[in-house]
Amino acid sequence: MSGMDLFCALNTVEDSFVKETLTYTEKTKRRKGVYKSILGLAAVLVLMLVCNKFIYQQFQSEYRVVSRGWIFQPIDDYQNRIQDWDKLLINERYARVVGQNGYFVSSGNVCVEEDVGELLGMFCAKGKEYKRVGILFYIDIEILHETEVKVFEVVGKNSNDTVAVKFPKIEGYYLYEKGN
Amino acid sequence: MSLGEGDGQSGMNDENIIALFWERSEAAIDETKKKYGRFLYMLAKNVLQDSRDAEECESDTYLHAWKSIPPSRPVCLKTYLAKITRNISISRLRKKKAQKRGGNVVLLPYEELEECIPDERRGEQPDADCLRDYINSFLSTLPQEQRILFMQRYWMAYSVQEIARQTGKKEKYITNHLYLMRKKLKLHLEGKVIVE
Repeated sequence: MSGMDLFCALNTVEDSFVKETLTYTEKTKRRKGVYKSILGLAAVLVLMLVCNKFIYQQFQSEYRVVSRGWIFQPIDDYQNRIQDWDKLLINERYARVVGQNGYFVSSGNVCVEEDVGELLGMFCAKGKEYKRVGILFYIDIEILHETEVKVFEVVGKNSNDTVAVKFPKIEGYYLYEKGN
Repeated sequence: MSLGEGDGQSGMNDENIIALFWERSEAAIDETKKKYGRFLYMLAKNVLQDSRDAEECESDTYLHAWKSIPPSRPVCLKTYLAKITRNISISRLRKKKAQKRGGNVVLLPYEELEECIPDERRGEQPDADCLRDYINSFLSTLPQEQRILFMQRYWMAYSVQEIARQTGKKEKYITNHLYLMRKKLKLHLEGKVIVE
């Protein structure tokens, strides 16, 4: 008799032993399937949380608000007040906040004059330029220095590169869109 | 290698499939294949370690089932088919065994069982009927966990790695227990263990 004969002879074992093994194997497989599903779901959730946090941080670092305390108005109403808006955006890469009187706030050095009544809010973004689709109307004069620049909460972004920003002192959200 | 239920595409229960066999309906083969095809293929592949041979064994199983049902009316169709597949696979394996294997250091289940064989010179080898009784008595003495372990390795021809993966135990644990069970089986086959 050889090992193969014995291996073959095992086919004569009682059906109950075979059934027991098959049932156990099926149950184990099913159980493992459930565990795998749960683990997979958990992994996806963790990944989503991590990615979300990462994206949010990236987003925050990319969009840095250099002005605050403004009321949003549709840009069309003030279109005529904007002088050389496009030119400024294209040629003056440092310009970020433009007022109707022609002053500006650079990305590196915030200099807002206290007697200015209206400002056009802009984002200071890393190497990118963004123009607003509306105007932030001044309501509370605050001179922002570089050390005071705060990251405001960016609450959403759509496929057209429009972002929504929530300002702490004002209810509602403000929409900004990416410039050329 | 895992042995799943089947493809899970057949909603038909075993009684209905067996009824189709009895009605000599060829749909019986299709339904069997749908429900147990993958399982039978994997069982054959575990034994033969060859995909093409396993496919042929799976097909032969359907043919054998077609010929044997009726008159047979299996209580558990899956067990019945598994036994057929295993028999056919072993027959094929015997033929293949004539060819020299080289380079494979992993012992196959039937090779491990060599060490359970009683000494031929001492005339202790049991005949076929005794062998069946010895094996069954041996299995009945094992705790359920050990018995399943033994069956997974030597009946379903799982690899040690696969068993370890399924049970969550270490391979060393599986290997050691299989070794001890083989020693125990040898005592049974030598008739040194009497089970009432």
